[in-house]
Amino acid sequence: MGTQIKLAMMATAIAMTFTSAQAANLRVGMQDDPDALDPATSGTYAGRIVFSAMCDKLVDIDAKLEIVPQLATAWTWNAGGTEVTFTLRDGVKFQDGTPFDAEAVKFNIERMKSMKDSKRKGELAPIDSVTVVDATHVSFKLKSAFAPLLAVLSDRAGMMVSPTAAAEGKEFAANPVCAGPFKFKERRARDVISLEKFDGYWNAAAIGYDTVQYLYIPDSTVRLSRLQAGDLEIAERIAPTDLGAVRGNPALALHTSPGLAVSHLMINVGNSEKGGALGKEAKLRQALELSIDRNVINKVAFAGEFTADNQMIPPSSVFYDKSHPAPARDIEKAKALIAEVGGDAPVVEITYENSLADGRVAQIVQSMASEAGFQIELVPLETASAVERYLAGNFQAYIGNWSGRADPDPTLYSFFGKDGSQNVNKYGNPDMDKTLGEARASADVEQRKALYAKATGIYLTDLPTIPLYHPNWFYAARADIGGIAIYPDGLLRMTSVKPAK
Amino acid sequence: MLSYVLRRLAIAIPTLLLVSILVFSLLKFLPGDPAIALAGEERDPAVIEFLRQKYSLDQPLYVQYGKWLGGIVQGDFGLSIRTRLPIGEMIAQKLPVTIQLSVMAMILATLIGIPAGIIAALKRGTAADYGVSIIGLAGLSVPSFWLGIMLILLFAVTLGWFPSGGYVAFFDSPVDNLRHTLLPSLVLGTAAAAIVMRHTRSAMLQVLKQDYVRTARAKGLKERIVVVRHVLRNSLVPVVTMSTLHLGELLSGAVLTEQVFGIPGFGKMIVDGVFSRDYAVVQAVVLCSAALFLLMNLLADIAYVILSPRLRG
Amino acid sequence: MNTSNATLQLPGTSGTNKSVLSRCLRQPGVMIGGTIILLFVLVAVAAPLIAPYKPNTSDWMAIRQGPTVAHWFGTDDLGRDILTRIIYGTQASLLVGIVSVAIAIAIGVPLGMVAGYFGGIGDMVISRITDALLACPFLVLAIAFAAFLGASLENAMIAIGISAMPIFVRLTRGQVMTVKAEDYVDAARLLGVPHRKIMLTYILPNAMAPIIVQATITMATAVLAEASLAFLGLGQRPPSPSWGTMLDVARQFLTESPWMAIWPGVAIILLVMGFNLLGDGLNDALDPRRDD
Repeated sequence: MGTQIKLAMMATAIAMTFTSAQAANLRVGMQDDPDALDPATSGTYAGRIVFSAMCDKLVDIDAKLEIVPQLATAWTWNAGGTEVTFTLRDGVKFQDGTPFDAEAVKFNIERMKSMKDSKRKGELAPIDSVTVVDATHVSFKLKSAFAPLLAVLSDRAGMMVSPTAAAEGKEFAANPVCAGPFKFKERRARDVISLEKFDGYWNAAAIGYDTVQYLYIPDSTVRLSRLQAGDLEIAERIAPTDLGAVRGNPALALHTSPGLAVSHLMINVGNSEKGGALGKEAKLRQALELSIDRNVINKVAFAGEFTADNQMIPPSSVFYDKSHPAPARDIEKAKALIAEVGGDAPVVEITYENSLADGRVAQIVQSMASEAGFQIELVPLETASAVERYLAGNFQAYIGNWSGRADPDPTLYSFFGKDGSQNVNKYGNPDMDKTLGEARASADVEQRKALYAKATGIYLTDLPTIPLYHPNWFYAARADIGGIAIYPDGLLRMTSVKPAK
Repeated sequence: MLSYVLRRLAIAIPTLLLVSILVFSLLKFLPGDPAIALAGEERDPAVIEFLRQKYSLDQPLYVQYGKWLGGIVQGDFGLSIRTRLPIGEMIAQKLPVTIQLSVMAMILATLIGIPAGIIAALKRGTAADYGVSIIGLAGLSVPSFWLGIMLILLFAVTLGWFPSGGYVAFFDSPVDNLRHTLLPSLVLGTAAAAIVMRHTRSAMLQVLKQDYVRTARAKGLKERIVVVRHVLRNSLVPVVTMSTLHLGELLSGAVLTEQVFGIPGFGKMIVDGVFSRDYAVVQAVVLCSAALFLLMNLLADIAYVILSPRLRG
Repeated sequence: MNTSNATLQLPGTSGTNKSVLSRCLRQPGVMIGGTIILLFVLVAVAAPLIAPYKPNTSDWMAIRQGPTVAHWFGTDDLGRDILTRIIYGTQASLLVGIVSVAIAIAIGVPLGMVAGYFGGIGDMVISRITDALLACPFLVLAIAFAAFLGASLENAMIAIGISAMPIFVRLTRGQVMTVKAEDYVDAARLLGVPHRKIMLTYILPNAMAPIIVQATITMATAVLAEASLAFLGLGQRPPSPSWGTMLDVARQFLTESPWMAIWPGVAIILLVMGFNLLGDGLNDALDPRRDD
């Protein structure tokens, strides 16, 4: 017994000198401070960046948004598309040593479906029940065919946490345990989150760093200057206006990807008394769309670095509909449409969450629309108050920022489906519901493409929202860091990232 | 002395209690439900309803207040609604940062303010006096965040001598810590220096008029000795008192300075708390800063009592 | 009753007003500070006449341009003329300075008078709440109130006014208690003059001087506080110009467009200095202990 302890101590001492001799630490500058570090309750993009190093998912996506294996190595659908069986990776352990098996998958899905403050309930609603086939096989029975399920499982809803840690009484979010390459070490609120390499990771050989630190530095300019000074290795979300400085610096490298997100001007079409003139008259909405120049918005507010577009689904998606290009600005036509409707100059109140980017977009829209005869009033509110009005449908127009998903269904269904979770402007069109329902049930990509093109045509005619642009992802890093690959989901996948030799 | 201190502390408790009630009720009337702020992008009504229950947001105010106060009395500030980390721990991490900034600012302020005040008082009515007074007034009038922006522009962006923001703990790297805190301390110290200077000047002028100074001068003592032994020593009493009081107020200035320099201190904690509707954090922080303010008041009074008898001597 | 006025010697009534005014005007602080403020008032009123452009008109071809002949102070991130926006921003700053102090006085002075004059439980309640409010950092209170009310210029004025109010309560209460002890107040009370009249005609005029000084200095604080709130996104709604908002935006472009950050700050310093100079000057002129 005594010698055993001594041996263990020696081993630890050796291990410590070993790691400290070549400990590689990666510091990532973050724009936001993540909220709760529990995949079931997390609601921020910043949190997803941290999770991508800490928590592996059943499946992942690649650069083309195709589904690839992660914790599940293979999956098969039944004929009707109502049941999917996963083959799980063998020998995977959670960071506390708990084995990852079919029981753990069942536990996780049920936890996220039943936990009271789970934010994944909506995403996992199509799953009816989970059955353990054997230790490495688990099958999900769906309520009805739901093609986008795998895309859903490539994000937080597919992240597996240790059942042992989750069952313990203490706050899981303060001590998260997953099955990813890095395990949680320490968090100082609104300052830094530290992770360390998990030696028992199933793909430990691929890990290039011993520790990762996510530092909360809200200003893009400050993140950039600290990256330039060598105080950071990577900085996420560099502002479009700062990109020139990154491109001009040989010590830095820019890693970009088109994004899934969309920024759009939502119009309250269904709450007639709250929506104002714009909500009632599709012609006025068309006039508003014609009065703005999306390219000017992109150029003035985002140095032309984002993608000006008129659709909810970004051009990088295979489901993007090329048959509906953005209309060019046409002030005369806009004026004619307004005159057709008649009455006084239409007054529109635009509500938005008070950020500099949205503020700029709102002011540009205001300025351009006023040339066509609109009278635009701006109502910037801090996030909580703005969202309160958003949820209550208490706005005329609202600048929405939706992070997007790998599959078009969560975006289109949420906003345009009759009971969609984001359909706060009470948009309703039976034709739309039918089209989206058919697309959900179909597993054939070509058929889905045609259905989503039809849906795009419908919402671009009704205009319950006017999409404005898609943000792109800009990560700046020290030039000597290898293996950074940013996909359209904008996450920093840590396994491949390696320090300079 | 001890009984005086105890009596003062006893008076401070009801004031703090009142602060807690005021802050609590103010925050409860804030529009913007914290449950919504927490619900994230999905904004699922069922989740919001659950969060409301979880954080007792659906209960009567006095019940919520009682629960909260009960926790405080036992030293438990509760959990941050947003990050679910213990608030006591957050304060323990962030308060030292702001205290470091404030103390450094006060040191800078006395180093600049006291000599400037002495010169202005001794050369009353001259160009030197007006010059110091005008600079002092400018120091009082400059918005701290603008001064911070200008210092960043000059020393960080243009010259590259200092980092443009962020913070490194002293124990991680003392040199980096000083590099990160010098500019913000300078910003905080500017208004403080102006205040110290004005108090030094007027206190000196008061003392210079006193009989014992006239007597000392009449006795033929050298002006330098008169100034150092009689005037300075006696005029520093109110200066020390005022500086201690101001140290408590530096917290207020730190709010914006920390925002500009991105320093994870107490002031930033308040602003972040207000904007993310993290009531529990804002309540705890305001209560703590009020307690600090009262403590500084007490220290100032004690300093006054200790230093004053010399006036007679 | 009418005779009571005649029989009592009232310091600070019309007979001495002239000398107070000339005493004030002899202070350089009053003269310089007053001139600065007057100039700002003129700029604010004449803004449409002297501004080279319209405050909210964008030139999409001139985004963040440095100073040129056409735009002396350059243009901002939306291609608007910065000089024009500084000129129009004067309106917001001055309005906040004046209105928020008016709010603070309108609430604070009556409360202070009631507390100081009547004493008793009312005094205790008012004084304790004042102590509690004064223990909270001013700016933190203002931020909390402003967040509570929502971002707009009107709400910023209310938030700052309420946060500044306790100083006036404490000051007025102290003044009233000093003046209350004067013989002429006792005399008036013995003559049966009603409380309200005693407060308004005997006590208030004699407690006024320090309140005026404090009001001037608080205007300086209020202008700074408005800029601070706007800097945090809690002030004037866009697109209307406000110096604090301009600085908030400018901070983002510090490396590439530093000119955006300079002039709004200079404008704030000048206006705040004007109020501070005026306050200092008035303090020297109205200070009863003055000896030079």
